[in-house]
Formats: sequence, structure tokens, C-alpha cells
Amino acid sequence: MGRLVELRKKFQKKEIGYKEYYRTFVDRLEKINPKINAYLELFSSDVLAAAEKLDSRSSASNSLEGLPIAIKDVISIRDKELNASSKILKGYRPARSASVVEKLEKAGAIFSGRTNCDEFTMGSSNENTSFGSVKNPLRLDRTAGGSSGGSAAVVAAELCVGALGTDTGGSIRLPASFCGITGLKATYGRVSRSGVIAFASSLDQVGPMADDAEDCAEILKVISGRDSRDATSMQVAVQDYPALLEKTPLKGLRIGLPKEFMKPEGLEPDVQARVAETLDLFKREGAILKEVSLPHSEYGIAVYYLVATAEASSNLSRYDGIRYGHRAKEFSSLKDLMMQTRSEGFGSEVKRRIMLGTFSLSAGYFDAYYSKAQFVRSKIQNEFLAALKEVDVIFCPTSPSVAFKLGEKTDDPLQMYLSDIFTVSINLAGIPAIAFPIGFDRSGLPIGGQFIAGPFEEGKLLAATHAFEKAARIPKGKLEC
Amino acid sequence: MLKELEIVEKKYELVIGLEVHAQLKTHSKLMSPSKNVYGQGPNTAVASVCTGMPGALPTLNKKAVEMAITTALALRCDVRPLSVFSRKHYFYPDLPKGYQISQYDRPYAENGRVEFFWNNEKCSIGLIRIHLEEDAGKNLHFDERGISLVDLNRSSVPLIEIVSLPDMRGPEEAGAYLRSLRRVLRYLDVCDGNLEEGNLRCDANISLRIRGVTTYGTRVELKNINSFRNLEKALVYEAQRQFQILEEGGKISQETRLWDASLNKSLSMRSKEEAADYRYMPEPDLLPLQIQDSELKELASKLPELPISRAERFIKDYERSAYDADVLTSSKDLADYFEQVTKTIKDPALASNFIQSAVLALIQDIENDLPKFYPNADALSDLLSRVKNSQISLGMAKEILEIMVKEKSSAEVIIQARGLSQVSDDGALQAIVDRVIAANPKQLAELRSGKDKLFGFFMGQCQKELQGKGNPGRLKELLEKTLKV
Amino acid sequence: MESLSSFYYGQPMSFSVDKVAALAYLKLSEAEKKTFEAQFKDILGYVDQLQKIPMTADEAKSMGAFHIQQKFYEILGLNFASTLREDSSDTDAESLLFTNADATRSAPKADGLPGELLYEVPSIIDR
Repeated sequence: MGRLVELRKKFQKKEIGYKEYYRTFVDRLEKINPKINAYLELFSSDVLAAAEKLDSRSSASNSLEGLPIAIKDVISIRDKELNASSKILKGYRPARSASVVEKLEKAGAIFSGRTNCDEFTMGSSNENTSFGSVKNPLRLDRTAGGSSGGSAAVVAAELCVGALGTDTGGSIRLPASFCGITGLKATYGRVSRSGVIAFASSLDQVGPMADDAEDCAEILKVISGRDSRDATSMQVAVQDYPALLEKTPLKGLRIGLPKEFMKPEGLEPDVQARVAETLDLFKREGAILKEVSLPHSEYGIAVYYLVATAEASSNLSRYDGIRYGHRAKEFSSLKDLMMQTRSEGFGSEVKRRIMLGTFSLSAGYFDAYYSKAQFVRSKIQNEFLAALKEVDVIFCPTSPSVAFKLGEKTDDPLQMYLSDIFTVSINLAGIPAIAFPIGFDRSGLPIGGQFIAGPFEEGKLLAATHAFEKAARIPKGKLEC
Repeated sequence: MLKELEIVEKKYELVIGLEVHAQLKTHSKLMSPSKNVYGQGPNTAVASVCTGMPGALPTLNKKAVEMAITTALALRCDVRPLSVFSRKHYFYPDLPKGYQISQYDRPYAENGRVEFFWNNEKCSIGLIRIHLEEDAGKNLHFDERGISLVDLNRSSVPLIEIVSLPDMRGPEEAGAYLRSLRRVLRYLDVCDGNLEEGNLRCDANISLRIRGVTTYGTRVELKNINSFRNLEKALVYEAQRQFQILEEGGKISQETRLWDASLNKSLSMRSKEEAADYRYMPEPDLLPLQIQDSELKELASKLPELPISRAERFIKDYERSAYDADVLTSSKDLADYFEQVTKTIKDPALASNFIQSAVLALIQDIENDLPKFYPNADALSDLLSRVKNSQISLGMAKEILEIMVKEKSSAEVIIQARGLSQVSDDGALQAIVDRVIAANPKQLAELRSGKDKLFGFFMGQCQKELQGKGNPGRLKELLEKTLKV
Repeated sequence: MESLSSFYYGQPMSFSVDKVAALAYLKLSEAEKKTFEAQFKDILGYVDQLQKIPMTADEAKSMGAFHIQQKFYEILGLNFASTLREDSSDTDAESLLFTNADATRSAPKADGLPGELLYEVPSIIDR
């Protein structure tokens, strides 16, 4: 049982009081967080105040009543500072909460704190933050993955029972895999982006990160749905994900294996070994494995880094020091104020991506870069959708490697981009995917697999993962913090 | 042809196009639910989208789209069933997102024309396109402290940009075009068209080419034109400036120039870098704008009668001249006023003449004052019907009108109170005629001997006896008849 | 507009760090410029593989990213008739409650004075 569902049961049965739980909780947070640097801010006093209130109430009626959820530092919480892990937003406090936060509040959730992430969610290792890297709770010299490294780490280190992350090119799924937890990126348009700091508008999605499929299902059910504030959110009924968990057994499940992602030479040996074992388990459980092909997926990274950076360069134009955040102290003119502010406020990865995006949108290059990328993106989507006509879900690893050492890839941006090879194509296609633990490497570092499905088939993804969890019984990793 | 441009136009043809931005009269903004309002305290009509807050997403205003489509239909444009929004990027404090949401390669409307009467002829200036876009905020300068202040109330107010073909050939024509376009927008009630307040803005493009040549010369864009007068002045100045350069063998540089009304010249924009690269990108936060045929039909059915059609109808049905028709349709309220009166008294000539010569002289600002003006159409009809049935003379009607305006009372009340009814009774009139003739034998003899001018004397004397209330037509007839005897 | 044939035949794209930084309103140090030049050579070299894929002028007329979501509307049989916002004069909760204080609460202070009512910036000379 995941800790979210477990804790809810405990509260409902009054096995533990809120105040009692949260006093221990806050102590634990304050003790452990410095070791992993996952929370940027702990909402300790809010949490304790909320606990008081809850104890004096008669019964918990909402699905997430009193449960501690961590929120990534790009999702607005009214009156709480919001930085996107960047210097340029120092001091910024939104006047409104994001729609997903309002939904969680209505469901009774308590926010434990805001989590560290790569600056403006640009990164795969949570090392591009201006607040110090997040350390992987299972191995402190390793990255927690990015960009939602903080959210993944707090779940893995049991400093909350669930967290919200965002995923643009793998930013929920990669850290989930590196930290041995479960994370889901929903269909583009399933969850509202209103109040979430935009990186790449046509790729970003907010999603749940938690111990297992069931816990993720509980959160996803609350945060999904059409939002009038987000024109890209779609009017599609929200399924009762927790109720669907038993509905997709592995027996008879047609699982597609994309040959481009399953090449053994592309994976670390232990990753390959765990993948092979997983495929064996699928077969034992009666699933039908079928090879599928996604030929244009090899262009995924190239397409992603043109589309995403173009949109990012646009979305980050608003950070100019005029209305909020950092403003340079010394400048020679208005124009210089804005340039100086941006140069002081943005880290180098952000600058790099803004430059790349600006270039791809610039006159004379737009067709060759941006248009071409969108064109190829269509092809990638078509190939996924065609494959998903032949199978129920697609399976592949989340990452070619386990969590790498802190500092290992920071000098080579292109190398860092290539860690997203198995995740970006899914964002480009707009379809949903879930990352879940399939084992460990010989040193005990977690390895993650992915299920991918068609639009708005999150129920199927969660159920298939749930079925796998029951059959595989992957144990929890050992924490080093 | 303007005198100042005679020498220019001998050799060159002026090629002029106008880009007009009209603010739409919606309650809320184009991409933000905050209020679309003028004159409120700074940064009080704002929300997260129009202040460029992190995480804010645009939402498209339905009414703005309807008004935009209505305008396109009125101007006979082709409305695209699917159009797209684009981001236009540049950095400036009054542009909080660092980009303006506009339409670039797929505007919602294309082609079309503006038709109007000018110099008693019907003109038609073609349009290239109309598109929807956000307005920017305002910068206020505060020089004592060396700072500027940014007010974002206007940020994301809905604008439609109407781009004409370069089909105008002179400043006066351009002025007529702008007036007519403004008139259409006001008829549709989509824009107030106030240049000084900035809810209608105009940029002009002008180039010169040698008469007979078909290729275009290099054009210059003129900005900061804030009145009809300045439009003409700016175009005249610029035509002369370009003429000078061309005559001296120089080349016109393609640029944007600001019209300075105090200096009466156009100035090259200082610190103007090379053509800005706006990096247009399709707007990923909005769905394409889908406009169904059924919606077009519905909006078309709700269109009011447009100024040009109404003017043409006044010419045809009421036998008005093109000039009169143009004046009477200068505002929808005035056209309604005229037509209601005409239909009631069934005398378009009387209505037209009286309104133009007497009524309009008493109204300062037709657009703002006519709606509350008294006498309204009913009251004026009543007054003019008394002229038609000879109860009062036309001259008397004008006097009564002024009293009506002052005292806000009806013609009936005024006539009764001051006993202003015209005398039309033949018996009474005849008696006066006889008396006056008898009392003036000397003048009678002179009239009989050929001094025809003295007829006026007798008319005058009769009216004097009648205290000016004699029905002039009837009196004249009786006097003539009696004198013949 | 450049001829589209230029990117069928692997023509190298030129990238000027100075020009792009100026467009993006970024001031880079000499060290940063050097690093970026090298890194962009790698990245653009990698990204250039897209040139292998032919695209016609019509295909280039991109509809932005909507074509991706449009597929979902088609698959689900949903009509994407644009969902527009009602133009209410009774503005909704967000804007009613979004006061001037909200707009300026995080505004940088100029001259040490609070960013109240208006946003303060150094003098704007020219537009």
C-alpha cells in the first residue's frame, strides 16, 4: 500500500491524530531535508496550524483530507514565494494559487512545502537550480534527476505522501526513476496549466509523484479536468482512476516494445538486465509482447530542443525586472536595466536555452528550425498513435542509466540532453506515460520503466502499473539520508 | 487638389495607405477577464494575464470576436473559418509578457472595402486585412525624478487593426476614408472612434511615384497622428519632404517617422535599430479561432443599415443630394432622427433643410449631444407639421425651435403661451390687405407706375399689422390678387 | 523569405552569439560567449540532422502546436469550436479580487520608494 492511501486510512480510523502526526512530521522534515536539499521552503507553521484545525473537526470527508503534499517551485500557491528555483524571481509571491493547487485544497490536502527543481524546469538532474542541487535520498552523491528532482526526493525520503511535479520532456518520469518512486505525466490537456510557470507551453503538464500507482491515481483524480482559465485543457470527463486500478490485468495485455528504445547497447548493463526481467514477468503473467517501431523517435531530442526552447525563449520574455522579482541595481538605461536583470537573474542553462530558442524563431531560420521541428513532431505523434492501435500500452525504460553522479554531466549540455532520449518523444506526441520502479542496479540505485498509452488513457496506465506492482513486488530502496 | 501640393502632384502621384487600430467596446479585455475601461486609477483594471504574471494564461473574449467579425462583415471582408493567433516579441515595459498576442499570417479577415461619398462621388478604398490583437499598456513620464511610470490598465484591451490597400491619392481622400471608417465603427457600436482619447489610432504610409509609372516608390510610415487635421498635415509635409529629396536626385529611405504636431514636421525615429525581428510564433496557449458559417449568418443578420447604404437610400427614396445624404448619415443617431421626422411629416426636403440649417446649428457635438437633444424626433415632427399646415411660418419655426431648446417645452405650449399662431384665414388677411392698401395711396401709385419693388413694402406693412404672423404664402397671393384689381 | 531548398541540402546555419544575445536581451561575459559558441556548435550540429527530412512549403505553414492536440479532438470526436470567455461586465473572481496591491506587491522598488500604484522604470526616451 502506498503511504498516501495508508495515511488516509489511519486518519479516517483515527489511529493517529493530525497534530500528533504532524509534530513528528515537521521534526523529520527539518532533520532530513538539509541532507538532500529537496524542499526550498518548509511550510511548517501552516502545516501545524492546519493540523490543529483538523483535529477539532468531526470527520474527514475529502479524498486528500489532511494529507501532506509537496508542491514543485513552479506551481503557484497564493502568498507563498515562488521562484522557479531562479534568482530572477526572488521575492515574487503570486496573488492567486494555480488551479491544480485550488483543487488540492478543496480536496483537503495540506501543503508541506515547495520543492527544489531545475531553474525554470530546464534540466535533467536538478543541478541547474540556484538553490543548490538536490541529492538523491538513496545515494547522496547522486542526482535525483530533473527537473522535478525535489518532488521525487521528498517522496522517496518520505517527507510527504505525494508531490506535484511538472513534465515537459521527462521531468516527472526521470526523477521518479532515479529515486525509485512512481510519477505520471498525463495527456497534454488533461490537467490545467493555469498558475504554473510555463517552460514549453505545448509540452508542459502537471502530474502526481508518489509511492505507487494507487497514490498517484488519488492525486490525479483531484487535479484533472477542464479549466476555463486554460484554453488548452480539454473537456474530457475525468475517470475515477482509483476505481479503475484492478481493471487492466497483465493477462492478455498487449504490450508494445519500441525497437528503437530497447536496443541493449543503448542501456547500462543493469538497466538492460532489469528490463529483460520485466519482460519475462510480463510474459509469465500472460501479457502479449509485440515489437513496434517508432522510426522518427530518433529525432525526438532534436525536435524537442527546438520546439521547447523556442517556446521557452518566448515564455521567459516576461522576466525583465519591471513588475516583480530581481531588478539589477546598476544599469545605464532602461534597456540596460532589462538586459542586466536578465543576465544576473538567469543561470547558464536557462540562458543557453533562451538563446537556442530565440535563434530558432529568428527571421530566416524559423522555417528551417521551428517549422521543421513541428513538422517532424507530427510524424512522431502519428507513429505512436499507429503503434497504439496494435497494442494496449507501450513499455520501455525511462532512462538508459541509473542516477549519475552529481557534477558528472554538467560540463556537457548535449550529453545532458541525451538523457531524455526515452522521455521526450512522449511529450512531443502529447500522450500520457507513467514511470515506475522495475528494480535496482547492483549498487542499489533504482531503475525505472515506463508505460505509454493513447490520449486520455491514464486509467489504463495506472491500472497496468498497479498490476505490475502486485506481480513484481519491487521492494523499497534503502535511504542514505 | 491641395494648393500646397500642386507642384508635387504635377509630376508625382501620391500613394497612401492607412493602418487603423480601433479599440473594441467590450466590458473586459481581449485575453484577460479584467475590465476594459478608460480613465481609472493606474493598475486597478488588471489581472494576472495583462500584467504578465508567471503562470498566467490568455483566454479569448467572445464579445471581442463578435465585434471583430461584425466589423469585417460590414466592410465586406472575407472572414476566415480558421484563423490563428501569434506572438509578436519585443521588450518594452508597457508590454508585460514581452510579446503581444496578435495575428500574423492568418488574420481572421481579408479583403473588403470602405465605401463613402467624397466630393459628391462615391468612392471605394480596398482593404488588405483586418486582425485582432492586444493593446499595450501606457508609459507616463515623470521627468523630475528621471523615471517613467507604467500603467497596465490598457494592456490587452482588444484592438482590431484595419489595413487598407495603398489606394488613396491624397491627404483629403485619406481624411475622408478615415472619417468614413470611423463612421462605420460607430454605426456598429464597436468603437467610439475618439482619436484624441486614443481609442482610434491611425498610422499612414506614403510614397511618391512619377505619374504614369506603375511600380511603387519607397514608402515611409508615419506614426503619432492624433487628429484628422494632423493626418492631413502630416501627409502634406511628408509628400513635400519626399518631393524635395526626389527632385534633388536623392533616395527615400524606408523608415518610420513620428509626426510632431508642435513642430509641424515628421521626425526620423532616433535610436531606431535595424528592422525589429519580432520572431512571430503561433500562440500555443490558445486554440485556433474557428468561425462557423452559422455564426457569420447570425451576425450578418444583426448588422444595422450601414452609412453608405443609408446615404444611398436617402438619395434614392428621399431625393436628397449626395452632400445632404452624407451630412445626414454622419452619425447613426442623426440619420435616425432625420428619417423619423421625415416619415412623420412626409416631407424629406423640409426635414433635411430644417435639420441642417436650424437644428444642427444649435448642437455643439452631434455625436454626444444629439441623443439627449430636445426637441427629439417626435417634438421636431410636431413643430414642422405646424409649418406644413401653415399654422406658423418657417421663420417662426426657427424662433420657436430655439425656445424649445431653452425651455424644453413643446411647440404647442410655446405657440399658445406666446400667441404665435400664424394668421392664415383669408378673411382676416384680406381685411388687412385692404386696410394697408387704403392707408398707403402714394406707394400704391408708385407701384402702379412700375416700381415693382414696392410690393415688398406692402408685404412688410401687412406683416407689421399682423405682428409678423401672417401666412406669407397666402398673404402674397391675396395681395397680388387685390393689387391687380 | 529564404528559399526552402536551402535546408534540403545540408547548408550550414550560421549562428552569431552576439546577435542572438541582443535579440534575447541577454548580456554575456566574454567567457560566457566563448563557452556558448562552442556549445552551440555541438548542439546545432546535432539538431541539423532534421535537415535530412524533406518538407514542402505548404507543410511548412505551421499551425503551431495545435496540430498535436487537434489529433486528440479528432480521435475523441470532440468539436473544438473555440471555447471563448464570456464578456462579463460583472468581472469574475480573479479580476475582482486582483487589486492594485496584488499587481504591485512584488514590484521592485525604484529609488527605495515602494512600487505602489504604478511600476517605476528609468526614464523612457524613445519608442
